[in-house]
Amino acid sequence: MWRRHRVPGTLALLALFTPLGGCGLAVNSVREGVENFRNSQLFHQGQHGELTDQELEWARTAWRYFENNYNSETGLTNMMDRYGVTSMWCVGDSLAALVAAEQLELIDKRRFDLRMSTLLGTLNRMDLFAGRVPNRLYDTASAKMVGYDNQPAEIGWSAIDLGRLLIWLSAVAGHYPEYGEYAQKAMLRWSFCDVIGACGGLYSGAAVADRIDLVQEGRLGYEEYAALGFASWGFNTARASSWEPYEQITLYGIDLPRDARDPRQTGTFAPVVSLPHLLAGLEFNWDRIRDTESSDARHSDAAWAQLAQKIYAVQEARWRNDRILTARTDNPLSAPPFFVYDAIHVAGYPWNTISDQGDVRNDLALVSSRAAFGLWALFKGDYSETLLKAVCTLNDPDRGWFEGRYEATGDHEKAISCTTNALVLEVLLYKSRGKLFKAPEQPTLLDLRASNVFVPPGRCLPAERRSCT
Amino acid sequence: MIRPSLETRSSAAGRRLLLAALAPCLALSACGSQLSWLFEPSATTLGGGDAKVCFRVPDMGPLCEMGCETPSSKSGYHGKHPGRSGELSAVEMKMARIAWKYFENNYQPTTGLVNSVDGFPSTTMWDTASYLGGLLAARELCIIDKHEFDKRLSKLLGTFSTLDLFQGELPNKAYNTETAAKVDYTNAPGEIGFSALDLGRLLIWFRILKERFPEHANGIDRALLRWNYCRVLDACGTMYGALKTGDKVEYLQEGRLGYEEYAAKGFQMWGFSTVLSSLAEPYETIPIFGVDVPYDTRDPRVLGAHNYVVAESYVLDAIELNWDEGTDRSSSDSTHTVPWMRDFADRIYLAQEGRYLETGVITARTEHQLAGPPYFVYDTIYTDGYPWNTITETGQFVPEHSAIALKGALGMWAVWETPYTDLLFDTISSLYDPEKGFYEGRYEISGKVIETFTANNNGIMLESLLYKTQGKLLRWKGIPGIWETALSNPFDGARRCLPQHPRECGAPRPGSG
Repeated sequence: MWRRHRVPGTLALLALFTPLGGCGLAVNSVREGVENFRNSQLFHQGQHGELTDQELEWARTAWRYFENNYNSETGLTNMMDRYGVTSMWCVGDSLAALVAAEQLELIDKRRFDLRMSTLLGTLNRMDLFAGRVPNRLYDTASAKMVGYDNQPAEIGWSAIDLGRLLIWLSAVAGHYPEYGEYAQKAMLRWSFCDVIGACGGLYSGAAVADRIDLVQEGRLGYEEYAALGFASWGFNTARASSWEPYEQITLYGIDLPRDARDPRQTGTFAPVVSLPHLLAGLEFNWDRIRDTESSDARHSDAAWAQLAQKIYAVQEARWRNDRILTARTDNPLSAPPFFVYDAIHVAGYPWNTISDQGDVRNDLALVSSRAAFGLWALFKGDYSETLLKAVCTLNDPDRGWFEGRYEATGDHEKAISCTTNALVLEVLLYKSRGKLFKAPEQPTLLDLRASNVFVPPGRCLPAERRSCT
Repeated sequence: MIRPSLETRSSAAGRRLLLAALAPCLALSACGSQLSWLFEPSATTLGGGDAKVCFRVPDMGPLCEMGCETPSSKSGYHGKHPGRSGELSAVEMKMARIAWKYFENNYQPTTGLVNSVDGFPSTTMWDTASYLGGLLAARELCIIDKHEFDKRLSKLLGTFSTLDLFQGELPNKAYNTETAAKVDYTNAPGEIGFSALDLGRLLIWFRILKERFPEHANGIDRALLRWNYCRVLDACGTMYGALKTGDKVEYLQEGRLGYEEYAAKGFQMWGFSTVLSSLAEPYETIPIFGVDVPYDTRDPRVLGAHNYVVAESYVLDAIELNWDEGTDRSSSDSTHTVPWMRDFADRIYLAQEGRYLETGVITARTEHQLAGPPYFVYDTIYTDGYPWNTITETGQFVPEHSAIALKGALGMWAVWETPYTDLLFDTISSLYDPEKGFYEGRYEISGKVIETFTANNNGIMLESLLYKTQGKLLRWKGIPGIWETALSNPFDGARRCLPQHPRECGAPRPGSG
């Protein structure tokens, strides 16, 4: 799984620098060398190296989605191909895709700036749910809030979607400090009071008649992933970042943690799926959020890295034992029920595929493109190569990557989504650069504004909060 | 966790003690003749039912006063059995008498059958087996005399000798206890199918009684020779139940981990091959409070049958069969010839103890009846994907009906001697109506009792108490009878698929047409 460390060779190379200049230069060279060494592609897990022509073609196909579904008025990208609605999760996706396109040189700096500026401008102008936080859905042409029926409506917010957006606003501020200020000004419009509790629990809000229902949101996986977004801006996310409450399940002798909150009592399913663990690997190298120093060869959140490894191992075990090619996560579909939790474990059963209503739909299990690409990027092995072969042609070069291939029949599932195409771009950027996340410079605009006790923003920003008691 | 129980039978000192205590009793009655087992542990005593063995001693004055009749269990040396052992305390003896009350109230003199639920004149073969367990315990604990015992058993066997069978093959799932007519579960006349699990348990109890009471062996053998075994077991040893809906009869594989292997032993001990149903597979484990609890992996979503994990089958297997093979006639009670069964049973116990230790919820889970709708729940350690799941027969989640099942609690008390089962005993020992017997259970959430009285609950409680005094209830004497004679005749029984007619495993299963 791990690239063998070529330490002696690299050290020898570093030693070569020393005699070439004076003392100061030598020190600088060594420091630079160490920096390069630490971030060397030799040292991140999974795929690494220059992209092949084939892989660049894959990246162009994925970017195609963001060309086709881009609205130049608003800077927003459709959530699904040719469907003019988006979510904050997809806005996060599109930022990731934009960063990847720029860094993989699929687009030039001018195109990048135009898209980034338009999108950040929209985030700074658009209406917010109850004037507080972004609504769950927006019309991509008008940037107006809409409901699930695509009619104007304020329906509520998703803390998980916001979490992913926060991650990429952070990463944009980290990689491109020139845009960080405008990203934070968009966030300064939001009120975090009901979104994240003092102890770091995440809450969704739903408009019900004339009030807002707050419900704890997120289950093991997505909850911890979304928490990273809030943590990257300094929020205490203790509760969301903790795995508790969880229980173990055992599949093929592999112990996997699953969220212990009971769907029969909470009404929320707690699927064990691949994607959040893969995103945490690609974007954060399974490091702790404050970890900007450690080598990518190690994961400072070792427990999460181990969990992700098990997510891979258990799917590989199903292939080895039952000869069923497996790469599972939650997926949109092109036909009813339009969405499934295609899970490693959900609602009490392993290898269970259910609609969001809980109907068992094992006929809709997929070899998911997004899961397969993510597993391939992060875990080297025969099995991940096998997975890649099963999905690497599942695209339309003019439209982007399909969702996957049906486990039952081998047919293509031709839904095309923002998330899957962004994931392919993230995967390829990961291969060439390693860990995608970069923290914004401290202190942030957010911190400075919130620390001003004379003119507090009153948005429950981290510096305004009392500690969890 | 499982402490060795005090065992004196095998020690010479113990025997001397026993004998000293016996002395007054021996003087009072003629019960010295069959005492050889005390001194020759390996000897098998072939005494009839009237053998007067006064073996059970200290503080058993009442027994002697009653005439010191016939403990039928004494057919040799058995070794140390798991869990509680020793004579019953006054409290335990009182509990046994109260549990027997149920069978006094619900006995149907016309048929010899007993109502499965208080006042409801209907029963199943499973509940009939539990009654037989209660009947044996009542006899062995001297709650009833030989006359009462023989009267009841003879009447019942008489009913079985003419019992109207489902499709003329096997006992129907339910019978009216007043008329012995086939009925459905609402007690309306009609045949609905047969249950392999119910029949398996009944076969175990017929075997226990046949071995202990050779005077009743003929009646038992003849009842069983009337049955046709072709559809209940296939050639690979898989058990099938019959389900009749309208005019259509379906034969569906029956039994999940625990119950399946327990019931299979019933068929096994009458000579049938039960290869596939006796395997623990297919199973997986799920960690519950640090214990890897085994569960059947046959999928309830696909097959409709729930894979409930409860205490009952493992407890019954211990009490009646010592977790031994159905055909195991000789091993000591300190060894278990189906070792995985003991292992799994321990885990079932430890998960429940773990729940108490971790959450404070007193837990003794098994299937049980309710006083109102839905009338019956599988109150499980695990089923259909969830730990501590409580579901109806249709799979509906009804956590409000979770309860401490009395039969589960007392069964675990008998089989595991621990501080936790002491607590279980204290929890349930006074949950009775002196006129009706023991209640079915006590709700986990409200603490109220389930105001239902059943044959299964009171029967299993009685056999649990008897287990303390005797260990494994199946005591082989191995006297060949009418059944064995029939099995040695190669020209008989082919149409009824008796064991001497093995079939080809892999052929289409019987009755699938």
